[in-house]
Amino acid sequence: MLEIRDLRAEVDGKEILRGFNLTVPKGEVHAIMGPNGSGKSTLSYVLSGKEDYEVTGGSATWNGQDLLAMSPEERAQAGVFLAFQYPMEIPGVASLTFLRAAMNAHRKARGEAEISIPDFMRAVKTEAEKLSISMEMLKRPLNVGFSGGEKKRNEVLQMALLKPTLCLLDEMDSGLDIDAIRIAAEGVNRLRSPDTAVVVITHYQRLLNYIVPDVVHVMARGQVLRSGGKELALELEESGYASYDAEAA
Amino acid sequence: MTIHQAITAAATPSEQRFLDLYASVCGRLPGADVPAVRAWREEALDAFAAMGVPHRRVEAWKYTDLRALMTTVHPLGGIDGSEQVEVIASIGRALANIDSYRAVFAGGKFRADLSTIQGAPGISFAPLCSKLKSEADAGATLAALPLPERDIIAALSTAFATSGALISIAPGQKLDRPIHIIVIASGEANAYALRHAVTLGDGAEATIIETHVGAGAAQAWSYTALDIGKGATLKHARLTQSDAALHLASSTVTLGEGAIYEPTHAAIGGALTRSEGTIRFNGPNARTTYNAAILARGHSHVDFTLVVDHAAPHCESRELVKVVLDDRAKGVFQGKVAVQRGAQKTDGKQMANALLLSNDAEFDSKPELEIFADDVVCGHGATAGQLDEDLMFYLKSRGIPEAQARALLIAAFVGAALDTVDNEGLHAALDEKVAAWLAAK
Repeated sequence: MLEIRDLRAEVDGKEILRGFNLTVPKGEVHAIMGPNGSGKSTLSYVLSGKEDYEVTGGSATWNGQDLLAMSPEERAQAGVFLAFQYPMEIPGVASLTFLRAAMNAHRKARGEAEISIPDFMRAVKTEAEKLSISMEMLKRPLNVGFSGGEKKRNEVLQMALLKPTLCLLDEMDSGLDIDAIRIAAEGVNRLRSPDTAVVVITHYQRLLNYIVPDVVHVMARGQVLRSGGKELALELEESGYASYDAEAA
Repeated sequence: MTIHQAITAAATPSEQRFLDLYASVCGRLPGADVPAVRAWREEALDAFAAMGVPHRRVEAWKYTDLRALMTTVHPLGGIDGSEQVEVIASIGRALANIDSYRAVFAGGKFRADLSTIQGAPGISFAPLCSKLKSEADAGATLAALPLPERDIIAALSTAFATSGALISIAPGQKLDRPIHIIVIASGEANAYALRHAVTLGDGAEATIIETHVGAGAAQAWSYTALDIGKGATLKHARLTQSDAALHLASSTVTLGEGAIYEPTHAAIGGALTRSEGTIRFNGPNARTTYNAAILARGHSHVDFTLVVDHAAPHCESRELVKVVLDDRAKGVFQGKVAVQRGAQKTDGKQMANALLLSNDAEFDSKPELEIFADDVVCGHGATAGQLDEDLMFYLKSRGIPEAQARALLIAAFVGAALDTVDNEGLHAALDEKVAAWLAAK
């Protein structure tokens, strides 16, 4: 279970999360929707441990482990995965090299031996095929020159191989066309299990047609203002965020 | 064309140390009793004395004050006896195992017992010292080994040369494996001087690998002349590695019409490494791609200085220099592109990027363009920065530990220069050297 209590965080002295509360039980998918500037991306960075964000209060635990006390790599090894809104391009590091380093880091943390090259290649091939990613592409430097859709599929590939238990999807649909959204969403749905929690951060309802949430939260000015079922997303699509912005202000 | 400036200096203690060294060994150097050899050496020594040991007020040595950095001159090695040396232990298994025609120079001497280049098909090889024994031999040999102007390193390497590789590859010859020149400065407190010359006949194709390692505080001086004939192709990798040794290397490369020269230079560590070179286009439609990488930490000082001299039209030069500096290390890249009158349609580009891993590290970049033709494209750029924190976070967010994430990004950074090496054995050996350097921190 992901439990976030009264979380407060700031960037450059400006408070972005202002007493944020959220509980996501294992096996559920929760969507966080909100206007630009509501703190959605900050939430994902704070949970995954980005250094520029200073936590000034509150707590965040995953299955009882204090996430805020862990380094980003420890959080990842504990099962946290952030699918970036804008995945990084890393010149000079082949996708395959990167994937193997990440998989082996997870195995090492679990006290397992490194994955053999044939096993690794088999695993990558199986998952890459499901996402229509060619092996040729994976020999190239990570994300360099990839289209928006290719980058997002690459994020889902990493997720499929690292098998996280807490998936944070930050605006996964931004810049994607319908086909690309469908492929990426299917990849996420394959990871859903009774042990996995998924937090879908999105501005638009569209993605939630593909990754159907159990609960929808409306976030504005660094707080959850309202929670409801998946129909809340449709309501937001109709009425917009204006009333929440005003309420929070 | 060089970026040295003429200077004259009275013999201060800095020069006197070298002059005294010469006086103490001149009677025992190879060819000491052959007048032509003696004259050749003394011309170089006079040139050295006239220039003096360069210091920071000499523009070409502004960032590498040799007078301050080299306060002692060790006794000259390679004259008496033979030093015990183990190639694999000295340069590492990966480099030692590259399938090649090998020429090993250890302790200032050619080591026939460790070399395989003798009698290799299409290669004419001789150690320099073997050509200094008679007036007739020496006359012909030394006529082809002129002293370049205003080159302090070439002057020292010539005056004190105990040996060197003289290699000639016949026109049209395409070598089936690389030539590997291995130079091991094995005595911790000795100085070594070598002078090499390589000639590629028209249309020949060859790969030359040079590996230079130094034990302890060894001092190694070398000068290499490379002449690449019309339409010939030379790939030239050069690795200098040591902890506390001092390497002074200079080279002059001349390209004939349509020739291709692809050097890849890497320097790892070393108390002081100065590797300077001139690449000169003597004929049109030739090109060079210079890739270089510097990895230095501790108090290392590594200086790459390069002049690309476009003396002919329609030639292309590319330079990419990647510099990684940690602790209090200092890196220098001085790159000059000279375009002479009439060298129209010259296309020259230069880029130097430094990655500073510590606040105390220093990178000095001095690009220079000197253009005397009007229809040319020339450009240069330089950057210095730190590891990208966003990239670091991305790697860490996937569970990759901090140290490994840094190593991946640094290896990728220098890889941009080193990945151009197409010999698989060498490529793997360089990767291994970089990984070992990163792991040593």
